Amino acid sequence: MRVLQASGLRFTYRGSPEPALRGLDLEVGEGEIVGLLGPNGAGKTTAIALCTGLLPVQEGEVRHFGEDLRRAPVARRRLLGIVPQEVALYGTLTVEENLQFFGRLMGLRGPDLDRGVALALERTLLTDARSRPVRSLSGGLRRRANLAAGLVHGPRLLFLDEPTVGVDTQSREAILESLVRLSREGLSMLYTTHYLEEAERLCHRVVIMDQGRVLVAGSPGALRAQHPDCMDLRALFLELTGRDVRD
Amino acid sequence: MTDFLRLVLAVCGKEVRLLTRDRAGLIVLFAMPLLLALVATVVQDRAMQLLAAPQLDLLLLDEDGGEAGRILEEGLRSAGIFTVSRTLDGVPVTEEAGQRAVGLGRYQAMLRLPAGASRETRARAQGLAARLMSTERRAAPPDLQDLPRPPRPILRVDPVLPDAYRKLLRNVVGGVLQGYETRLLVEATAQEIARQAAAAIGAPLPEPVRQAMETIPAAALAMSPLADPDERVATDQPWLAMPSAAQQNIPAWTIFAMYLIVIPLAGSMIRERRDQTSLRVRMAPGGPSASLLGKALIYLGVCGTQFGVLFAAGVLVLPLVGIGGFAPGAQWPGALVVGLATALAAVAFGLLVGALAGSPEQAALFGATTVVILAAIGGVMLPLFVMPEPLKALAAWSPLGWSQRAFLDLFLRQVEIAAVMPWIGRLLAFSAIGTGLALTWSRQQA
Repeated sequence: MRVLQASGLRFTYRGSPEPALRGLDLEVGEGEIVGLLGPNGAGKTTAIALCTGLLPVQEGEVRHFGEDLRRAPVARRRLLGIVPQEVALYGTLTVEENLQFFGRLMGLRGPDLDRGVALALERTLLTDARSRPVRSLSGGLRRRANLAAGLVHGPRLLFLDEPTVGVDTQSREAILESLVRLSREGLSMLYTTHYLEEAERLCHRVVIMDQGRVLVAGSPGALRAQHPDCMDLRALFLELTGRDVRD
Repeated sequence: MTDFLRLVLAVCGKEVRLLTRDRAGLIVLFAMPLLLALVATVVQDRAMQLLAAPQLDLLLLDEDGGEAGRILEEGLRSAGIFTVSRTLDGVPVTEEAGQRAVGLGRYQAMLRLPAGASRETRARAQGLAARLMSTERRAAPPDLQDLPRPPRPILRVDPVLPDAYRKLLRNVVGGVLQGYETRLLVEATAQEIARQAAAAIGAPLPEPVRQAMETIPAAALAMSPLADPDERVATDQPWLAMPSAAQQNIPAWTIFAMYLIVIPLAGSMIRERRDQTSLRVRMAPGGPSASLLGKALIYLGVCGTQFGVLFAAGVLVLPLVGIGGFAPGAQWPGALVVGLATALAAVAFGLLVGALAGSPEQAALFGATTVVILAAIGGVMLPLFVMPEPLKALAAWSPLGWSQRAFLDLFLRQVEIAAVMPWIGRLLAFSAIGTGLALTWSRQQA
């Protein structure tokens, strides 16, 4: 079953002469990690905002679990999770208090909430840091706590916007291993990153986009096979999007 | 319990944790306004006591030694404003020592009455009476050039004495001495009339006539009620006409404190946008509404706590430092309603600044500055009656001023709550408009 299906998405921000998306198509299957790659300004964040319902669809369609986002019950949003680019947590609250709050916000309570918090802590290897205020954590631990907050309510589709920015190698490894385990457990993910080797290693499929359009889509292996002159994803990315520095 | 209510409670719990762990925020919200209220009340109480019943210490250097000095001292004392001393450090005051003491601020003024003041004044009055009663025919007032001229008293004042007190002192001294001169003139005139009448009839005046003539000066000086206006305050309850320092300051600084929530409230909204916790909130069904409602409820609670703390300080702490005058008494219900309307307006203002400002720093600067300006023009920092007319007109546009007027009407004029409904209505309208604009703007930013 297609967990996420976006087709023909076009979106123009108010006051902007150019559309941010020009007919984007995207699909994420069950347990699949799809990497959404592109230079700055390609439209990745806009695509995630439309797919999560944070921005209203102007043109095109977004379906979650086969149902149109605009017609689906609001409670269906509880099946979605998000890990924003920033560490979207309250610094003076402990890790556990943050997870409890976001869990409650997503409708958990009682034993379900306790179980969700414990599981999210365990999956992100944060059980020992549960009582520490977020502001006292290192950058890597904060990023893991950010991931845990997206997992606490047990979503079936997770949107991750550059979740490993600015973390050391060990924490990045921990985060990537967690994501692989979650994918094996059936969690579907739409993942944006500028670290192409990370996408090549983690993602079942990647979508390279620029200027609001999909340039190519497929598994990293298939894309390499289609472009034999590109030795890796980075080379393919640069060939497709050019070497000009973006804003 | 509905899901939405659970969400609101979750937001409330989170906000309480965030607030109670923000020590600087707690100081801004509670300790600073409390300190401001107490200090301002004590300072203003002293200033109002001076305004209401100034007490000036005077030195009297009486070189004359006659009745002018005695009458002047009695007149100054009876004014109830001055203490008069003829000695300095236990010895009779001298020109140099008195001037030094006044210059140092130990005394507010020294009045020197030169030698001969009494004698020359009496001689001038007698000379004037003789010329006024002269039987010579004349077309113009008599020439007074050659009459004796008493020496002028000399007044030395403390250089920092406010101008109003200088004028007050001059008026009192002038009034007393003018009264003395008038009495001498009337006495001299009466004596001259008696003398001329006796000369005309060629015999001493009959005793009843002579006694009647002697009463003329006292009767003349006591005749006019024009000089003693009947003073009444312009209210049905005259004992409540002037605000005490506590009546002015406790409600004023409570209002000010309530509006200070703009800093943490707007700051928290902006931080949530900036660190993207708002994205998670918006992903939750009902999250944005629950988040705003939860914040609003908690900050209403903060305002309620500020109201309780500051009013309790007014009732319980101020009397410990000798300042009374704040006893809401039967006006508690009205005060609570005004307090609630003020809190709603303050929260709406916080939400609006949170929606409009781009950073917590911007919100803190803009919010705090705006609150100070609105407080100043609204008569919160200083009573409206001491402000210039243009600022009084501006007070009509300050929500803080509306609250202050409502509190003063309740506590000072003892009006019913219905009488302050226009102010409450304005506050509620401000709250509704502010919240509506904040919601609209927040949605647009989302």
